[in-house]
Parts: sequence; structure tokens; C-alpha cells
Amino acid sequence: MSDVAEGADEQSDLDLINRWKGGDQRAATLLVERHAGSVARFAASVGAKGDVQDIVQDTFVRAFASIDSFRGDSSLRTWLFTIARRLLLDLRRSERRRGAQVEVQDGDAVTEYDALDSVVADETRQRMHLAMARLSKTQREVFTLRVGEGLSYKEIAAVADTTEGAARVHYHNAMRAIKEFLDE
Amino acid sequence: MNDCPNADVRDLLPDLVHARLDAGTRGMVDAHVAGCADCREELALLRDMSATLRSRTPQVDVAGIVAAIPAHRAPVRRSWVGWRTAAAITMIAAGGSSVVMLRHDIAPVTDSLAVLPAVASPEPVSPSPITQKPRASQPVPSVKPVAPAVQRAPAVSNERELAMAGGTMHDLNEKELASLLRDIEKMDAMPSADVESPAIAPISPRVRTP
Ligand SMILES: [Zn+2]
Repeated sequence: MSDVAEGADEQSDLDLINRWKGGDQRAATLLVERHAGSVARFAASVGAKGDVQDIVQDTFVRAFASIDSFRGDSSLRTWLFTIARRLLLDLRRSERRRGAQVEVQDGDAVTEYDALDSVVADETRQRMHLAMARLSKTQREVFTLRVGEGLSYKEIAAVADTTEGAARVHYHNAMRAIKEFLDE
Repeated sequence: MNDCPNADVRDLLPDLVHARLDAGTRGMVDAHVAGCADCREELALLRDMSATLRSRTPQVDVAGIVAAIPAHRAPVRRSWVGWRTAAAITMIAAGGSSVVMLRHDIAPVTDSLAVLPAVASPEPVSPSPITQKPRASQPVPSVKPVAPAVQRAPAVSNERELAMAGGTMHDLNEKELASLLRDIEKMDAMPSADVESPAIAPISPRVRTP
């Protein structure tokens, strides 16, 4: 595959980054407006709950602070996901060290994931939420990135610290599990 | 819901949903989907799932995030000036500690002269800013440095050498400190595009000069 539509988007991400480097604060606003939703969605899909705003804000602060290390080899959005994921893992790790919170295991995923929004009017969407909730954390992360964000396996591998092949397997296993659940 | 046996096409369906296929690939996938019920069904599911996932986007405060973003600083300049500023601050700190040591040395002298009336020296000897500044905050008569103490100061500072990154440095005298402070001010005033200024280059050699 190739990045046609979103490739054009990334070009203007780079333009905005350069404008921001030149002192244009409005460019930072445009970049945050463009990507904050995706980062928030991704953070929620990998376990952020009440701290989504903090995770998203820290992600952008870190990204902008080290923007010169962003070469544009990957898309800005992929890079932001990578930063957000690392922040979230670090946060959860330190929480576990403090004993403040025990990481929710895959088996508990239904309650955790479903609690995000218990009010889903559409019955079809309710079923889809439940199907997502039954996935393992890794399957859900990969599926969210592939289907919700449209990332390639290569991009998913970079974000989720895995291989393209593993990402593909997780995606297809997730797809099979979702189909089976919806067919029940 | 059945899986289409064409794994290659199935793999591309999410890219079709997100319009990430080039025209040629898209034409091929579209043609396959038009004749494949399984893929049409899976494509519909993917569109629904994508919409479902995107429908649950948590609200974030964009203005708050933007406000937290620091202004951009070019990395080359930052590391260079950062290093120089750090070095300069280290020198100041070293200078400061040498002042403390110096004052400790001269303390017995001033103490022995403390019996003198505060007005004993109507025209105070102009001490170096190093010794004057810390004293200025003290309400005691020691504010007025006495001649013997001030005369001793250079001797003490000449003896004392401070280990500094990659070499040794004598205590800063008045001129050197003033010059160093001017250099630091110049650093702060430099525009971000200014990578290296010859004005700040000679800091190290200058402070090494006794
Ligand atoms: Zn098919």
C-alpha cells in the first residue's frame, strides 16, 4: 500500500512544524487540533482512563520539545502514538511500583473497556464495543490502530514495539474474534 | 460471516476504508470487492468498526495542551550555549566558593580589628565586587573592609587553584568576574539564529589569565 491521502496530510504536518519552529504559535495549535483526538483515542484504547488529558498533553509537550529529532520518516501521528504509548507504560509501571494500581489483565478487559462509555444508544455499536472488549490488549491495540486510525502494519509495528508480521497476525486474530462474537 | 480466501485483498480493506491506497491498487481492490460478497460484508463491518472507534474519542482541552508547549529552541545553539552557560555558572559558583574561602581566611583579621570604631575608615578602600557584594548585606561593621584584609586577598587567591573541567583556574579577580558576567549577558541576548559568537569564545583563556 502507499500513503496517498494521508501522505499529503503529513506534508502539511511538516510545513506546520517548520512554521512553528519559525515562531508561529498558531501552527502548534493547528497540529494539536489535528492530532489530539487520535492520540486521545489511542491512549484510551491502550488503557488511559481519567488521565487521558494528561497523557495527551505530555505527549505533545515531549513531541514539540524534541521535534528536531522528528525526521519525517514516519508520520507525525505515528510518532505521537509512540510517545503516548511509552508515557502510558512508564506511568503504569510507576503506579505499580507505588502499589497504587494493579494493571488490569486481559481477562478483566470487558469491564475496563466497556466502562469507558456505558451509554451507547446504537445496539450495533454496543455489540461492537463488547466485541472489542473481548480482545486481548495487544489485539485491541493493533485493531484500533489498523481499523480506527488506518495505520499500516509497518507503522503499527513501530508504535506497538513489535514486528509487521506479528501486527498482521494480531489484526487477523482480532478480526476473527470480532466476527465470531458478532455471529453468535 | 466468512473470510474471503484472497488474503492480499483482505489485508488491504482497512486501507480502502481510510483512503490510503494509490489509484492502481484501489482499482484492483474495488474490482474484487464488487464481485465478492465476503469482502463487501467485511468492508461494511470495518466501516462500522472504524466509525464506532472514532465515535468514542475522549474530549481533550486543545488550548491547555497548546499553552503547555514550550517555545522552540534550535538544538545546535541550545547545546552550545547551554554548555557555555553551564561552564560560566560553574565558574561563578567556583568563584563564589572561593570568596567564601577567602572571607574565611580573612575573618580572623577583621575580627581582630573589630574593636575599631565603625568610622575608623572614613574612606573605605574600594574592594573588589566579589568581596563587597556579600558583605553589603551584612549590617555589621565588617562592611567596611580594612586595608590588611583587602591586601591579603590577592595573595590568598593567587595561591588557590580550583579544579575546573579539563584544567585549573585561578580565582577570579574583579576584572575577570565583570568580564565573565558581561559574557553571560551577551549569551542571553544572543538571537536564536546566532550559533557561535566570537565574543564568547575567549572565556576560558581569559579566566585562566591570572
Ligand atoms: Zn473477497
